[in-house]
Parts: sequence; structure tokens; C-alpha cells
Amino acid sequence: MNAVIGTGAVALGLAGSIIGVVTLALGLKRGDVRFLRAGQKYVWVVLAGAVVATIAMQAALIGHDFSLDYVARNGSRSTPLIYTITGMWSALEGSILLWGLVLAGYLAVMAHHFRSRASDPLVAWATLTGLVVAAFFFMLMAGPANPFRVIAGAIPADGLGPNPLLQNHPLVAFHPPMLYLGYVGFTVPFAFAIAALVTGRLGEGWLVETRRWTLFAWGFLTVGVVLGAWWSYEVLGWGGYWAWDPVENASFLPWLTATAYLHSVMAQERRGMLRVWNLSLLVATFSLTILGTFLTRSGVLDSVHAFSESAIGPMILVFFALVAGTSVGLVAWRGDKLRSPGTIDSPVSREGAFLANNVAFGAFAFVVLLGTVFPLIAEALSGDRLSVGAPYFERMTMPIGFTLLFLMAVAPALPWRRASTEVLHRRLLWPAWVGTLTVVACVVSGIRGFGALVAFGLAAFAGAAAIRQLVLSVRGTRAQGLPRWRGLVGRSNGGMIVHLGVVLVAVGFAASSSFGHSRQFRLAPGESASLAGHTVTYLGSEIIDQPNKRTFRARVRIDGGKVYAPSLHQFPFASQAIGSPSVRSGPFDDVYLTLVAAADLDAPGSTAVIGVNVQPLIAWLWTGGAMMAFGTLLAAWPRDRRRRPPPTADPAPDDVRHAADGMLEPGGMPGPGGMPVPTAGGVPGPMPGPMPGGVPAPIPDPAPEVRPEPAEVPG
Amino acid sequence: MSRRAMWAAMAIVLVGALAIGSQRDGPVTDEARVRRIGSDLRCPTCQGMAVADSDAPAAQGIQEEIRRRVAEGRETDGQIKDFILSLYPDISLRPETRGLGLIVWGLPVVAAVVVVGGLAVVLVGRSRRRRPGAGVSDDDRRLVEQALGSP
Repeated sequence: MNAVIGTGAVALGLAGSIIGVVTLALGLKRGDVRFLRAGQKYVWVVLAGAVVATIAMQAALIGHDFSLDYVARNGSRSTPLIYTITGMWSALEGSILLWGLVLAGYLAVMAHHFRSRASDPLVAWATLTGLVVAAFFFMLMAGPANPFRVIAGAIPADGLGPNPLLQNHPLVAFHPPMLYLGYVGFTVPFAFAIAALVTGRLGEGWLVETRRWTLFAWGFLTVGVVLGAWWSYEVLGWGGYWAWDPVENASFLPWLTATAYLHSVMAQERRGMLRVWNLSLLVATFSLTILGTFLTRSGVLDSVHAFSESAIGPMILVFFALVAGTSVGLVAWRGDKLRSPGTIDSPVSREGAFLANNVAFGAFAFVVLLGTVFPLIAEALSGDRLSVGAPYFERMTMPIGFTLLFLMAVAPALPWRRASTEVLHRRLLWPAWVGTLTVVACVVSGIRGFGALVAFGLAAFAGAAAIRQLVLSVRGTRAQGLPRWRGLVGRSNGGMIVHLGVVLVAVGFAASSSFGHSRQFRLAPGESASLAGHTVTYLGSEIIDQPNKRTFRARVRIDGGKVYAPSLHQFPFASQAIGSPSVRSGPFDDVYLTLVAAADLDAPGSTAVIGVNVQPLIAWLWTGGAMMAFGTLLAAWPRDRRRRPPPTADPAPDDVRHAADGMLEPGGMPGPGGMPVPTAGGVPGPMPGPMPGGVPAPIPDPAPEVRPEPAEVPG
Repeated sequence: MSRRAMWAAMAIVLVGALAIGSQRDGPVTDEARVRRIGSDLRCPTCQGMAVADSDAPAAQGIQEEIRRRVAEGRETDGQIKDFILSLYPDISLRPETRGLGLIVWGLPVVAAVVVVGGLAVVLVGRSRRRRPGAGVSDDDRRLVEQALGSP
């Protein structure tokens, strides 16, 4: 029953996306508005297919319908309800279904948002592109990755249950959906980028349309990556959170290119620069999500998180080649129209900093990609099996990380176009002193190690720069008679809060990787051991039998305080016992306990082996991640139009003006201070029909040349 | 204090602090050496995890061997690593800096030099064109230089 409904729903989704593509293509060819309107409606058919398929899958999982092969492999009667539900993304076929659901959801929101502009070719092409991607994923589900395949032979009485690692921590319910919301979210800006290339409306219009979509996708991806690191820390039991493993790298790569895009896009909106580059970054981001899926789902690379492998590899690779090939072809075809009207005046300027930022992020992504795929290249070239691991990535990415921290400190203080030494001095002096004095304070308090000190100093520099921006922005809004919190919303201000989150993550990363201690102790009940100033006392162990597993649990007291319980779980169908670490988290350090070998409970007083891992500032990583998510929300916060200052208001000081950079609303409304908004090529906002030819008009320099250097509050 | 002096003072303080802070904090302990060697080696039985991080029996065995050799104190870290790699040839997590390994280490450096160099040439060229005297060709310049007769 579930199999029939599910298979039918997948077929519905596939049919809906294909018919939608055909309808839209016909409408675009004939210029027939009715076809375009109808084509957009097929998005809802695709959504219906995805939702029904998901319901069928959940019904099968919760109802223990072991006639489905997928349920028999990933569900069991003894699995708790939450892990039965998350069983949907515990293996390949279900993950593809989740992907399809999220994609259909995004496309539906997009269709709803642009419903009044169904006849606009830009929207039609974007919808068509989105539906092509949807068709691909439904095709996977209908063919090689069918989640509703009926089991061959007799229906088993019970299933195997999810992979043991995927059923002992509730983060499994959040990390994959967040990651997919991020991954899949980039389909929307990608679709608009393709649409802009095809229609030739290559100005800033499509950028403005998709800005918030990109921001949300980026925020979800950030949360997904951080939650993945947290899951790794809480579950895998090796004390670390980031191993530069192929699956981790696959989620990190699109994050890097998307972060580069979020920055360089500002140079295009403000100065009309870097058009080809921005398109390429979006295409790269989307392609990398597909490539990442290929790398991690096809089994070509070993990974600790490779929970699903199958024969879908070749199909994904072909799709990747198609995406990359089409995009490169389109960019080449439109190359002449992509010439940017704006140019860089001076490298020491905001746009210069964005350029440097992009070079650094590009290099970062290149290193991570090269290191991830190099084992494949090497094996193909020489037949050697070799690994590229953490030592390589750490050595190569450290200088890039330092560069990025430095840019994060300096860039917010740089004005557009050109910076005078006077401005640099005034804006950077005290943040730079904060960084310097942080290094001094660290050295005085006995911290040693060049890399860590540089990281702390740069992080403090960047943090001070971000706080300075926020303080100026809050003061500026108050001076305008607006409530103080308004100084924290908007793209630049939200961005500064994201920067503060990044600073926390950087400090946590540098501290925990430089100053961790780990050791194993064999302890009899009542014995104590100490490591890095912490004392652990082994109290004893016990066995707990649960329906789905047998648990050996040790009781360990940390520093004479609370008792923690690292455990080992023996699942019926897994050969190796799975450890569950127990962590005492604090603002300054984490004490991380693992049970390496359980005591023999039949022999009273026998010893257990306890692994103790003490790492400083781990909690800063998760706090920083939360702060990045919060900052993203603030950056995307819709502005209250009625309260916008009248166009005649005095030009705010430079810093506050930048805080209002996110105000180029669709429709070419004048920004605050009556600034003319660049509208080259694609016209933002309600389209007065297709642009004839869409030739980018030679735009007047968007930034007012005569802006005086800001009379800034001395700080 | 003049502006320049303020930044110079900061630079001196910073360099001094970093110089002191970079000095090693006491001698390297045996356990730190074991960890450092173990971080460069992949556990043979588990996927992608370093020997130093793994509780798997194979990883623990390798770690014991490293610990024994470090305690003997006759070999350098590199020699111990080479010995382990002679037993398990493909468990190095750090690609070698010769042969194919040169690609993975060298390519990013080459790419960075080319990109940064290229951008620098373009930007410098552009800002030079923008200065007063833009539109003066290189030939003109050479002519002027000749006329001025630089020694």
C-alpha cells in the first residue's frame, strides 16, 4: 500500500516537473503568456508529489511496513519513534526523497512569491531551471535510488534499524534537514542566474530578486555545517569536531563559495563590478552541492559519514557535468554583455577588500576541493592509494584563515572607491590596539604558540572592528530618532553580527586545536586520575538493557562535582560497540569522557578504561554558530518602509550609510539620502515586460562622487 | 604622539609579544611527540581517522609501537614515522612533497601566485593609466627617458 502510494507520488512529481518544463519551454518559444502561467502552476504538482511521497515513507517507517526494502534496512520495531522518523534520511534513497521534498518546497515558495510575474521571461526561465533540477531528483527516485522498492522474497518480521551512529543523538533530527535546506536553497539563486544569462538581463535586477533567498540558504547551510560538527563531537567519541573528512568538506565547499558570493555581490550592487565572477560563484556553489552529493553518495571516497552508497554515482556525475557545462557555455555566450561598467579605483577600498576576500575564499575552496579529490586523481594517475588528511588541510588553510580574519578586521572600515590614510588611521587605530593588547595579554598569561597567538590577535582585531561598526550604527539610528535595535538590523549590521560569530568560531577552533589534552586511564572503582587541572574519579559501571541495544554505562565524577556517564552501546546487528561520550561543557573548557573498554561486571572491582579529553573554548564554536544564524536573520530582516527616513534627510555619516546598504529595494526606490540606485540592464522590481535586448545601459556612477569624508564621532 | 609613531609603537609591541610567545613552553614531552606522529598517520581499520584519535585496536597497536620507540629516544619523529609507513605503506595523512604529492602541495601555491600577481599587474596598470599623464604611451615615455639621459 505504502509502496504503491509512494511510487505513484514519485511518478506524479516526475511527471509534474517534466510537463512543467515542456509547458514553460513552449510558452517561452511562442511568447504565450497562458503557457507561462500554466507552467508555473506545475510546481504545485511537484510539491504534491513530494509531500505525498514523504507521508507514504513516514507511514511506512512508523507503521513498520517491512515490505519496503528501505524500511527493512533502516527501520526496526525496537527503534525509538524519533529515530524511526529520522530513518528517512539515514540512508541514500530517503535522503534523496528529503532533497526532493525541500526542493519542491523552495520551488513552491518561489512560484508563490513570483505568481504575479509568471509572464516575465526571467521568472519563467528560473522556474524552468528549478523544475529541471526537480526532474533530475525525481528521476533518481524513480530509478536507481527508489525509496519505495518492494523487498524481494518474504517480508521480514523485523528490520535492521538505522546505522547505530544515527540513532543515539537527537541532533540527527536537525542536522540533515538544516544542511539540505542550505544545499537545496542555492537552487533558487542558481535558477535566476541561469535565467539572467539566457534572457540577457544581466544587470543587477536578478541579484536583488534573489538576495534574501541566498541569505537564507547560506544561513541554513551555516547552521547545518555547525550542527554537523556538533553531532560529530557529541557522537563519534574521538574528541574532535572537524576531521577534514570528505563529507565534511563536501558541505564546507559550497559554504565557502557562497560566502564569497555574499560579499562580492555587494561590489556589483554598489559599483556594477564583478558580474561574470558573481554568476560564476553562484553556479559554482550549486555545482559543488551536486559534486558533494556525488563524492559522498557514490562511494568513491571513504568517509566516516558515508552512510549511504549506491550506483547513483554516474547519474549524479553526468548531471554535474551538465550543470557545469551549460553554465560555462552560457557565460561564454553572454560574455560580451557581462562587461562590468564599474572598475576598481584603488585596491585600498571596500571593493578592493571584497576582491581580496574573494581571492582568499576562492583559494580556500580550491585547497579543500583539491585535497578532497586528490586521492581519486592520484589513484587514476598512478594506482597508488593515498590519503590527504588533516595535517595537509591545516597547513594549507591556516594562512588563508589568517588572511580572512585580517580582511574581516579591515574591510568594514574601508570606504568605497578609495581610502585616505587619515580615514584608515582614525577607524583602525583602536581595533588594532585591541588586537595587539590581546596578544600581549595572552603572552603575559603564559599562552605560547605562534599560530594560536596570531589567531587570537586577529580575531580580537576583527571583533573590535565589527563592534565599532555596530556601535556607530546604533548611535546613528538613535540620532535619526529610530529605536536603538534598528541599528542592528539590515544587511551590514546583521553581517557584523555574523562576523562576531565567525570570530568566536575562529577563537574556539584555534584554542581547541592548539591546547587540547587527551589521555586514557585504566581505573578501578574509586580511583582517580587527573589531566590538565581536572580530576576524574571512576565510580563504577552498570549494564542497561533496552529493546534496541545493550548499554554499558560508567559513572565518572569530574572535579568532585557532578557525575557523568560515558557509555558503550552494543546494537544487535552491529559488530563493533558504539561509544557515547559524555561531556561537561563550560565557557572556558570542555571535559570530554569516553568509555574505551567496559569493566567486566562479573568481576567486582575490575577496571575500566576511560578516555579523557580536555579542550579549551569548545563552547565558543557552538555559540559562534548560533550567533552567525542570528546575524543572518537580522541581515534578512525586512525593513519597515513607512519608517524609512525621507529622501531629503541629511546624508548620514559614512558608516551609518553603509549600514543602510541593504536598502536598495526592488523597484528602484531611492535609498536613504536620496541616492540614485544603479539599475543597469535588468530592471529590478515589477517588470514592464521583457527588456528589449537587455543591453546594459551605461549607468552613471552609482556612488556619489562628491561625498565628503564623514564627520565621524571620534572613537 | 604622531600618527606614524603610534602605529610604529604598536608594531614593536606586537612583534615583541609574538617573539616571546613563539618560544616553546618547556621541552617537548614524549606524549606530545607520540601525538604528533600519530596525527600524521591514518588508522588502518577505520575510515579517515588519525591513529592519534582512534580507539580501534589497530590504531592503539600502532600508537604503542610509536610510544615504545619514542621512549627509547634513539630515533627522530621522521624516522619513527618512516618505520611505521614501511609496515603500512598507504596510511600517511600528509602527502609527500615529491612525485604526485608535489601537485597537491604546489598547485595551490602556484595558483595563488598567478592570481595575486595577475590582479596586482591589472590594478597597478589601471591606477597608472588613471594618473595625470594617462594616454601617454610607453613609447613616449621611453622617448622622454632617453631625452632626460638617465646615466
